[in-house]
Amino acid sequence: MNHLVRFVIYVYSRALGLYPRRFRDEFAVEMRTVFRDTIRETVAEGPWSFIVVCGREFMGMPFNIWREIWHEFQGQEAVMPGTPFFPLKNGTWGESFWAGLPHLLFAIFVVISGAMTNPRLAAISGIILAFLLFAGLLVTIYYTWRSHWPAWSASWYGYVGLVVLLFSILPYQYHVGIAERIFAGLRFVLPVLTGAGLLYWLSRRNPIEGLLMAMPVIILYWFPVMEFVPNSIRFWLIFWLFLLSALAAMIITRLNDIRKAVWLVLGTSILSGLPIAYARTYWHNIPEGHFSPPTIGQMAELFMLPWLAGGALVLGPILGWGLWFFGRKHGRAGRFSTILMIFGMVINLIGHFNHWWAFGHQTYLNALGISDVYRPNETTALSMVSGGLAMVLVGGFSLVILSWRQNKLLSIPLILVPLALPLAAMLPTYFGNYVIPAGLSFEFARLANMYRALIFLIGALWLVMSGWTVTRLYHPPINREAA
Amino acid sequence: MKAQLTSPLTEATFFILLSLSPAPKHGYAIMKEVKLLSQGRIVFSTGTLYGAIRRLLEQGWIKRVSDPEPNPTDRERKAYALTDRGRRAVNAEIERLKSLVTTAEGRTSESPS
Repeated sequence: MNHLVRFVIYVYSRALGLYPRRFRDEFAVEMRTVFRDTIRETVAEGPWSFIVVCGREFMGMPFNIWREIWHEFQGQEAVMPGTPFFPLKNGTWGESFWAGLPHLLFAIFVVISGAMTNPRLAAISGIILAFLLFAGLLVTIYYTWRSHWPAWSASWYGYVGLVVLLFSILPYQYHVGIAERIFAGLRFVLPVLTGAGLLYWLSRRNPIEGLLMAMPVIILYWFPVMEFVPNSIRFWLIFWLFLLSALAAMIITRLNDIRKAVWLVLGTSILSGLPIAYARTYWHNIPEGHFSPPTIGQMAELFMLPWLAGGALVLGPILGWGLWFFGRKHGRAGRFSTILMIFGMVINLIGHFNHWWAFGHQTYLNALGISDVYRPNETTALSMVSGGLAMVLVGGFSLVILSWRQNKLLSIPLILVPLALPLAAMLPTYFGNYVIPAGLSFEFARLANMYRALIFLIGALWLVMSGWTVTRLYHPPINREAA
Repeated sequence: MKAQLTSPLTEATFFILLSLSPAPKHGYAIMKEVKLLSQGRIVFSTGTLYGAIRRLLEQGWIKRVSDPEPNPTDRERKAYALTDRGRRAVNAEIERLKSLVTTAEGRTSESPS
């Protein structure tokens, strides 16, 4: 009997390891002692009592463990201690208005330009409005500089970046000489790199600012979807897009809570994208005057790619920094794992774009006249995609091993989140032996419906899990007032 | 907070708080006391007891204290005691139960036999 008692106590002690970390740290030793005392007492009462008590303890255990895991999931306990938090107060209504204003200005710009029926008048007013908008952006940047760059000003940077990018791309195709081409290339690449650098820097300083700055990216992603939508409908869709973004930017600034802001941005993208996908599917001008109700598959195809790509680019910097802060808490090994993972993701992404650059935009490259200096090939693209994925795998697994004991719940998405998108993009490589650039529809057309649906499903799961991971990696707002 | 104090407690919570009412106790003693007080109706498993203890600690109704009956061979045992808030919660629940009983007794004594 003594052997059996010792064995039962041993099994119970091991099973206590299934409780969440915090609960285990606090109560496991006591629970073991109480269990041991209970068992010893029941042994003295007879075998039947021993069986009843063991049954009660072990039968109730799964439910008790699940209850504590759920409790941690709901509460703040799941947040790792030591993750960064940002000492911010809720934004005022005035600040919220300033954050929403650039989106509102673009909405007004769309309304005024769309309302002009005379083409000549529309062109002139368009130029005047564009000039006013650009001047307004510069004045605001000056004002925000004088106000020591408040958080709401990030909402303007994205638009400034877009306007600068637009002006830097426009004269691109008119250069013929090699020196001019290099200069034009630099003028295109430098604003992109500066914008990306600013986005990552802002996301590190305050993820809310990073999110506000990246919001125009989501808007930008919906524009190609509206390509064949008649102007009269497109005008309202664009207006709706900017209006919704303005509202989202205002609420984000007012709440000033990254955990809610992430879902707000993804939700805004859904609300913007669904009517656009519907309109594109329903109203065709190719062939002329052809109307057909959309199928779910058609809508999903048009909706999912911009939603995933826009969401991924917006969440990317915040998730990246969250992972970096998380890895840093696990010493040198944690830092190394995170760097490996982030670099892996970057290399993987470049691999995808390498392929896209080589095939999808060959015509564009020819037009620019630089195809003779850039010669990517399939082997390079595949090596970069596979190498990047391997780096993500190694970094992810080592980070999970390091963090597993501290937070199992967070460890699982930590391995799945960075893996899911490269894996989704890699699926066609397994099935069709070529690389699919993430978020670009031309290449998806080659795939069978089942693979496309699979990629969309994994992509949607990835985006939701990324959002959830962001909410777990950053401190809850409850701590902000104390800072 | 007032709503929490005046709202009905679960039977298990009530008995845990009641068992701690006279003096601090460790986990095993609480289990035995609750079984005794409830006349064998409530028998906690260890996991259920410590889940409840965790919530009561978070609510601030109980607190950890040094074991009143230290056992030289068992250094890991911890005891729990009622806080003022916990005591107010028990008293409020007792008052609520008394009021229920008074109302029920009044109504049954009025009914025709």
